Amino acid sequence: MPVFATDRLSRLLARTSPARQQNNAAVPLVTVTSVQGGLRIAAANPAAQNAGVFPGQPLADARALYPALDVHPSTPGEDLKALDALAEACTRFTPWTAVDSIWGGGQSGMGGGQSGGLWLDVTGCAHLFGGEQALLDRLVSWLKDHGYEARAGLADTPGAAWALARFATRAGTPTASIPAGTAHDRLSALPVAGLRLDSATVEKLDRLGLRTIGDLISLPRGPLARRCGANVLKRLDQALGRQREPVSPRRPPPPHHARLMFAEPVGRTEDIAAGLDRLLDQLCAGLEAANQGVRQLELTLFRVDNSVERARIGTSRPVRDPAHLAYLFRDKIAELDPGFGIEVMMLAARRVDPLTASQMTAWQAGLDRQSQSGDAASTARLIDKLSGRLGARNVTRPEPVSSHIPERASRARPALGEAKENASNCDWSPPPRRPARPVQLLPQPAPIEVMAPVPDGPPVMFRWRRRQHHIARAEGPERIAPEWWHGTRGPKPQNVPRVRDYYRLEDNDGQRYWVFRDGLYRPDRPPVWYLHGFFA
Amino acid sequence: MSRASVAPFPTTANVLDDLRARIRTLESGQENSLAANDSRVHAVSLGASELDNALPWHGFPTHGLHEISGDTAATGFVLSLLARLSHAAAGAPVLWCQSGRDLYPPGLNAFGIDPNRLILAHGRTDTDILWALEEGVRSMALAAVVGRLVKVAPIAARRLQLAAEESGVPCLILRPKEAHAPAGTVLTRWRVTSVPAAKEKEAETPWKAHWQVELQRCRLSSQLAATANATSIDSRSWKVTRNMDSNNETGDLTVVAGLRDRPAEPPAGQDIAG
Repeated sequence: MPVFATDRLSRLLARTSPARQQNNAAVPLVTVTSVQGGLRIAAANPAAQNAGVFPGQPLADARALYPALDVHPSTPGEDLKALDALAEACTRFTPWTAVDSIWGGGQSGMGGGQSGGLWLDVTGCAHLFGGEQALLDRLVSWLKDHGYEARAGLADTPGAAWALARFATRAGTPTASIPAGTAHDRLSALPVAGLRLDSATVEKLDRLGLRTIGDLISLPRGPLARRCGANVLKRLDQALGRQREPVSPRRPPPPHHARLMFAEPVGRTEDIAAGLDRLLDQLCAGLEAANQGVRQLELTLFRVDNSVERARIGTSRPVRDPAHLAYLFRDKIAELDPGFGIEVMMLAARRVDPLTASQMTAWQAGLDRQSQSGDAASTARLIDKLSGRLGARNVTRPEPVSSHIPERASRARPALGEAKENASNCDWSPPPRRPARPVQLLPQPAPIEVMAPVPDGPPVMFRWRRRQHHIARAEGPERIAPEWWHGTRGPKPQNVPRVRDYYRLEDNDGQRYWVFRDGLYRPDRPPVWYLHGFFA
Repeated sequence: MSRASVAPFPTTANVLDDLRARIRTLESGQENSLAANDSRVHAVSLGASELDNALPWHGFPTHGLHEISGDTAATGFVLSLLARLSHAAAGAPVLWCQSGRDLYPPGLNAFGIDPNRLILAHGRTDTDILWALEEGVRSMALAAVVGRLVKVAPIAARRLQLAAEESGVPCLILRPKEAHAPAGTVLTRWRVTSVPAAKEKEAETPWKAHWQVELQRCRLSSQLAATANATSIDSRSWKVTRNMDSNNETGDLTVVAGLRDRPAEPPAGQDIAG
């Protein structure tokens, strides 16, 4: 996208002021950045470039050429954000998209901070659009519809595609592609700047009379590397496919996905649900062929206004039952905002696990209403449903932790995740002769006022929530010492847990409490008491 | 010969008679079907014969909606029930729904509950909790479903009751002490409160829970009146103790005494002797 920065800006302006919508492209628009004390043009739109303005020009010179210039500050951060969003929206063409890392900085030789590039790996996707050329046309026209002037190049290697998009296209023919195996001939005619070299190297090569890539190919490699640096050779090899060039996608492509395109944008929840059913059938067929089940599933809706809506579900065990998955999505779909309509729906399995046929029969058994209770599959389905609505963190299974500190002795593990084997080498059975634990434990011990006849003895009365509780019976203390290997880490002395003396108390009404005195009794300090739990 | 099957042209009178007959069979049939000796209804012993005999199923039924209100003693009573229900359902998991996070799994061992069998669901609103309860009841995979709720609307209670009747998974509603308005239609309603361990020795060694268990409502108890142990139905309130330090699997309740509504004819000579 040669003029991405100004395209983005004029889109923004057209949205905010209706007056601009009429002749948006005709208004010369530039962004400026402050360089070495002076303002210089960072990006200029085609209208401004026609008037003689070019990136890198001082603003004063540009104003002299065209006084009515529309000047805005350059915002590379916003540009990058918009480019990233665009890469996201381009997942409608292929799940593998990335932002070109050579962005701004003037090193591309293509006007510095005004252009923007995206990588799309369309391997195996072109046939969905009717061939590679059709895909390119569609991509460019789709971007143009959204106000972005775009050029597209398609080749076997990222380097060649990069060169093609920038140097083999013109305003009239915005796309270029190289049939497989002919990269050598086609690239030879392109200028050396197409090799993604910095401007200093391009200038040096230019002085040597090396203007096209073909000139470089014909030269002996050793002297070339010595004179111009190894980077030239590396880029050349990458473009010609002699050296592999890995490019990382924005997000890893899902192992399984299904896509549905609508002829007309849809907006009704029922339509989305119907589309989801078709996608699920498609996806589950693919999963069955691969003997896999889905653990995390993501539904992406591409809206007509170029934004993206998402819904995610998770399952506690691998699933490929369309009915169950559709049920999990049911509530989520209703919350999605279709905006002005949805063009493309995509369902991507973000995480899959092996699911063999024997497990499949267990699922079918779970579907059977007459199956005996205690079926693990039905439990898993229940957990999926509950986690879907209440949130994965709100559906938990308790897990023992080997700690004597009461509040650390158990942990809530999301039921959706699988149990870690041997994560804690302890079980729930209490050590022998340990006094019973309460059934309810306050998340935070509540401070209480206590009256005790003997300073280090059990209380006879305590006050909690403005009520006095007279103690009829007391048992204890059970002394629980802090774990010395944890205690020293506290940033402040008062955060270090102290020895606690726990007492079981029963008041005159028969209510049973678990209280403790914080710290050992010391004559110089009044004891601090807390209420920590309730016995049944 | 049933009238419904032979009447070729149903008249109004025929239809009405037929409906009445069907209602009669339903009414009588339901009582029969939910009786203790029916194979469709399973009952789990509460661990004390006095409590079991007060119920028409001679035990706690493993279906339907049950309401237990009271202070922490009610939680304890529900936990004892859960241990028995889970044991009867071959260790099937138990779903526990509430808004807070104050249930303390290490404390459940004393009730004979394996915390690994527990699924905890935390809903922000009562609507969420009721939804989770219904999903749990309908999943058929659980031994029991427990929800701690302050308020249950009659319609929601009716839904839960129907689901719990149909699926055979008991649904227990645990309500705090403050709640007064009774829930709509329930199979049984209990009120369990802590009572002081009166007149017992100060140095009583085992730490025992003392509860007052009151059966406030029980559907189908009219059938019980016809059975032999008619005396026990009048006694609807018991003082119960439970040994908390023994960590025993079954965790038997021990009925100390029927507190109020004593049997009309006490065993002869007891009052005089006492």
